[in-house]
Amino acid sequence: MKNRSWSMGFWSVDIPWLGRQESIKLWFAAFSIAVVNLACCGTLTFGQGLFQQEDIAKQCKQVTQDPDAKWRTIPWQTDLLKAQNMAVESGKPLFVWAMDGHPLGCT
Amino acid sequence: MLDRESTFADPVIIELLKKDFVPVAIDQWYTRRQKDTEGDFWRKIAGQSPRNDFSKTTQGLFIAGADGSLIAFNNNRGAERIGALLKEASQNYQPAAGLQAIERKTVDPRFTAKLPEGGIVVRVSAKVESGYEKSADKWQTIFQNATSRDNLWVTAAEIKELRADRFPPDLARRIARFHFLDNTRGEATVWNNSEIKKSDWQMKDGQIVGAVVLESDDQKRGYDVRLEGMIKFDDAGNILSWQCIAKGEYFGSSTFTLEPPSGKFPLAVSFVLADGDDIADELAPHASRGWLDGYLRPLQ
Repeated sequence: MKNRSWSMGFWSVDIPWLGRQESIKLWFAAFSIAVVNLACCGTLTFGQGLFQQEDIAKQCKQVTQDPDAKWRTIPWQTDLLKAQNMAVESGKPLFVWAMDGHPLGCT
Repeated sequence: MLDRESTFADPVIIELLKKDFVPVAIDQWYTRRQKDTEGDFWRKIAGQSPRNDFSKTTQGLFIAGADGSLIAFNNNRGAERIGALLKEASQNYQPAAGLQAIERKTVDPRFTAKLPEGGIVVRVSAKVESGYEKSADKWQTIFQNATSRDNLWVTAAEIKELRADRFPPDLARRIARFHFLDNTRGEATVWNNSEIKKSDWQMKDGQIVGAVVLESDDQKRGYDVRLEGMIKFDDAGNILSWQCIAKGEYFGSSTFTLEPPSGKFPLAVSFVLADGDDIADELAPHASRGWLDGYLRPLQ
């Protein structure tokens, strides 16, 4: 009577409905896959990343300052002397927003 | 950033600044140090305020005449207070007699970083994706929802390397040290070379994959991040688009970025080619302050 239970030797898995040769092949295939996986672990690969290419543009957009933010509608200058020249010409005073790190960028 | 989302989002202030003032935004870290015409003019204005010790910060909001005479100084936020100052100044301002445009006679090269010829600007933005405890505090909420902004400078020689599907080591290190930062709550401390624990980059047909692990020497701050993206070129080798997204787990804070989420939290950093539409595109990278060579060649 054929043994219907599973048993596992060092080089083979005896699977009841397969012959011994097939069992060895199956075990070898599983072992090979494991080796390849171990070899790939920790290396960089293309096409297996966090995102699909088409998602990257969308992701970038989500991590971007609002281009329509209200503070952007103010006509900021970034050069103090140019602003002084404009103030002379226009007869207006200067408003200086001075920060540690650039107020329009940095953070 | 708090000012951007509060004071300068106020419609009354926006209207006053547009109509009655010449608004200018400066990084006073540079300006108060500059030994040149612009620096002299700034020290003239700030020197009349409580910010008159130029070895320390001169940050704040200043209203000044075109001759450099100080009209008002304030270092507090609050749209009402700033709005009142602006209204009063605009009503009372009388330009001094004989005003003249100041000619730029000297430029201090130590504090005048210019994009290297043939280089490009890539906008860098960072955002904490989750992890904060909900806050009832208005200012804290602004911090928690903030997206930071900086510029990455890429040199002409590096563009040539990228065209050949080689990711330049200096560029890899520049990104890791100076742009993989949680600067969403303020100015973040850059990473030292010794704090880069892993930095693997590959390119193939314009696709970029990068994996970087950073950890501060005191082990109180770190970022384990993976970047993916694509650079596209035209036939002449010019960059047409640059879109990369980096995501990973960050932990800890630095001196000016206190109150991060507790433990590890997801931080995303995007890199997109600047098109010049944003005035911030013309700003030098934050980490290049007084140290452009070190920024461009962090390996040396």
